[in-house]
Amino acid sequence: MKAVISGGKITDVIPLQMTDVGSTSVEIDQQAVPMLRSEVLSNQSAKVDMISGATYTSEGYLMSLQAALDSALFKG
Amino acid sequence: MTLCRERAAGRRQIHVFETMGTTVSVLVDADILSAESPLERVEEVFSAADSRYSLYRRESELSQIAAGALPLSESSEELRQMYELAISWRNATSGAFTPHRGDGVIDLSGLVKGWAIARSGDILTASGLNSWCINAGGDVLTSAGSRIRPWVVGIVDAEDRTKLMTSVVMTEKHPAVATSGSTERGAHIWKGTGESDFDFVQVSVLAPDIVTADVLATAIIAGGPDLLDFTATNWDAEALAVDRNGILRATPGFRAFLPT
Repeated sequence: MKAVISGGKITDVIPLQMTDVGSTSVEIDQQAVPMLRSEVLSNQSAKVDMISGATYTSEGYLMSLQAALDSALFKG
Repeated sequence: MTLCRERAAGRRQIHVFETMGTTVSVLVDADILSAESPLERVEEVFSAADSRYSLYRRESELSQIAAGALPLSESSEELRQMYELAISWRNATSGAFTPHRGDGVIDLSGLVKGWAIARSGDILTASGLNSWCINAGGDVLTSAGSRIRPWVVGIVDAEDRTKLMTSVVMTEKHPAVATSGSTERGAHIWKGTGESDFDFVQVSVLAPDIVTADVLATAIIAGGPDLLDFTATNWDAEALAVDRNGILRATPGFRAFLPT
């Protein structure tokens, strides 16, 4: 599925095409796979521009990593 | 209330303001912006959406509908379109995402923030800015244009919010990443008997647009492992989920977004 956004408005939600093999529409089931924390942690040293996390309140923001990142930029 | 802090650090500017009960950070790579800053229009998009859709504002259009003072059929075209879109997402996620609260009240908060972020991105791009990042309460949209160094977005550790669990490199095809938690504010995630039933405590989704990312992150929290597999199969999106025991599961394509 893909949401189409045009002129600031969401105009459509389009299902992605299934793979066509001959005349038969084939859907290949994909399964989520387990990952080790060490696999995703290996890149901790990468410099981040922004931080994604569960929604914080305005008060929560002040304690968040994003706030730390923002204020580092304020300080230049 | 507006914080309205702004500062140029080299060519990089950060603009922070409060809206929708959360905080928005807009990062722009640009020299001095014109007097009629597009950042002001970005703030207006959020504040207009907040006034129309917030259920904690008694005077908002959606609160009027919830109170029975305004029939849905007489509401604004924009609100009805937003509701229709929410219903189409409900159908597309087998009901895992829903705009209906447990008590039947229409709650569009799961959609409106993403919509406001997308619209803000359009405003920045239309203003000639081609290198920017918008973060609204933890949901991030980056400019998809070419950039010497791609945008890198950190993902908070569900177990210790003062740490990052990982980071992802945004691409032109997947410039949006949203994260939902089972204990987050303004719970627009509804499931039978309470949040202790959720399999996942945190889900991050990378997608071609921020609405898709945000809706799917919410839907996978509500729908659990089945919806994670469903997403892997049906959407051009990748997801990383953390379960109650701290175990990670990801869609097969997620690994490609990790920095090398």
